Amino acid sequence: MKLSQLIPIIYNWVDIVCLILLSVIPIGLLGHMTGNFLTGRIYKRFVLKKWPHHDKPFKPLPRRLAHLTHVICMVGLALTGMYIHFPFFDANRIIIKYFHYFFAFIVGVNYIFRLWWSFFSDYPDSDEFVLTWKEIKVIPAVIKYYAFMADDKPHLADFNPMQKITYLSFAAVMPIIGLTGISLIFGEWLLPPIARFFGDLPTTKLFLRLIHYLCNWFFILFTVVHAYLAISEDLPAFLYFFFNIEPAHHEEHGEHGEHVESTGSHTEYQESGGSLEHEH
Amino acid sequence: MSTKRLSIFSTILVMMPILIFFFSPSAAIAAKVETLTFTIGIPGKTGCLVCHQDKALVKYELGKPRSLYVNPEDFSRTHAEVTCIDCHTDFTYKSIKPSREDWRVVAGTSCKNCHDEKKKIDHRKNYADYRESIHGRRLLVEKNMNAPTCAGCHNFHRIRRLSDPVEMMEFRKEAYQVCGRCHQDYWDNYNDWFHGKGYKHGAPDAPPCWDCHGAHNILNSKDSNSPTNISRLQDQCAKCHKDADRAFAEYGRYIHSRNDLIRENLVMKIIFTVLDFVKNSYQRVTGYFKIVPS
Repeated sequence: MKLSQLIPIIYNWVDIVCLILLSVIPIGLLGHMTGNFLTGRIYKRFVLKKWPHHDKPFKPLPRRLAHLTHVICMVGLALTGMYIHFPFFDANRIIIKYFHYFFAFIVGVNYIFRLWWSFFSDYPDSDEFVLTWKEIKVIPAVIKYYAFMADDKPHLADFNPMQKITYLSFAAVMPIIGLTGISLIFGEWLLPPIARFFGDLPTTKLFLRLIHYLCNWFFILFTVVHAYLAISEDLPAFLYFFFNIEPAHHEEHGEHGEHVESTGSHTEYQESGGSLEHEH
Repeated sequence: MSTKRLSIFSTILVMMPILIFFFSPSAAIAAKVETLTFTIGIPGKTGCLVCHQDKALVKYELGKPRSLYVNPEDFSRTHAEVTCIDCHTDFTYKSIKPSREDWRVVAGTSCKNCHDEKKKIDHRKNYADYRESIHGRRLLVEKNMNAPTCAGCHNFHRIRRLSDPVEMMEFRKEAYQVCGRCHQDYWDNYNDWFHGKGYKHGAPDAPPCWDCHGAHNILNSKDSNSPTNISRLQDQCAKCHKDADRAFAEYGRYIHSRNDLIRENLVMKIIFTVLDFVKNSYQRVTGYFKIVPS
């Protein structure tokens, strides 16, 4: 079967499976929230104010602004992108495409800024995302915690290993979706050298559009879960990131008045309302 | 025979044909066909529009009124200089009038008579293409008087000036009126996400039917001369998808068959089976208890 014949069939499968997942995942999350109620986790968090512990609770404003910008633009990209693929109401698709490009441009700039910030700024945070073998080994324990098969999850860093995998995947998929998107816009100039591998230029674009579309679903489905967990598992961090409402934690100020990240020992955090987690 | 009897007999003899004429159904129809109801002609207007600009002008056909109103604004931009009888060439005051089908076909194909080199207008070329098309053959060879004419697609009075980009854009939105209302099944299954669904939701970059199938020279896709014949499809695709080759044109088969793809999908088959089961179970239960759903 030729690629151009196969792609519509794959598209059809992706449409059906991902739309079903998009319907099923919120139902699953609702079930998970019910589990949180039944096991008393909601009470512990929202009433007793026992939220997860953070080794480095301070997140500089540019980092939070970059996250906020990223969220707004990704929502814009998802809505406009979904419209381009599933035109579900009457509108001018060309204008919607330009909105899509606009959001994509901001996300691209933001992504480059975020990479620079992670490695070269005064507050580099790339080490927060490093996944160690020790962390990989505790993944089953983390899954058990989220599946209500354990009361606590191992705490090795601010982000649990599954979070790290998700965030690193986001960072890895971002260039793929970005480059495929750019290739779709400027395909006539960029794609001819690789077009022969796929047959012709339109088939190449059709294939790249499929990759772009798959990445889009990856972001949408994972972001739904990410948003749910961010709010239900760590509301203070969510409020801090989006509304600059600082969580109750120890902060120290340097001699010039700038923020210095708290080393916040486990005991200190528990005193201020942190969660009781096992330190492995 | 007395004088009284003779007078009654002769009265019946005279009245009989008159009564038969007025009470027979065909006579009633015949009488109504030519019944025109209209008010006084519009002041300041001349020619046909004296009467046809009157919104109340109707003609009764088989007992039902049919409007004969013509909105002058319809041809105020295009064909403003063309008179009514330029297209209605068979117009006549004679008692034997052309049938409705003839009237429609003559007016509907009168475009072929029009060419003006100064204005670079020549409809004869389009008519020549039409004559060879499947629509033209239906009309001219098979004498199917219901086959589409020029006006069948371009409208009779409200014809758009396609040299005007704005009018052209408006015309491109009318694929349902032009093609879909006759080819309802193809219109319904023109719903792949990139082309059909986009088109139906107003995407200016999505193609109306004639972008792929051709316009005046439209042919059955099985005809090797048809632009949508598989042997020529890549040329059609290449109009929008630069450098499209034959392999890419294979996608074309899905433009009208997304419904089939969904039906054939394993997940959807399971969903449809479950839905059918639920529906049948519901019907059985309601049938068993004789519950009448409100």
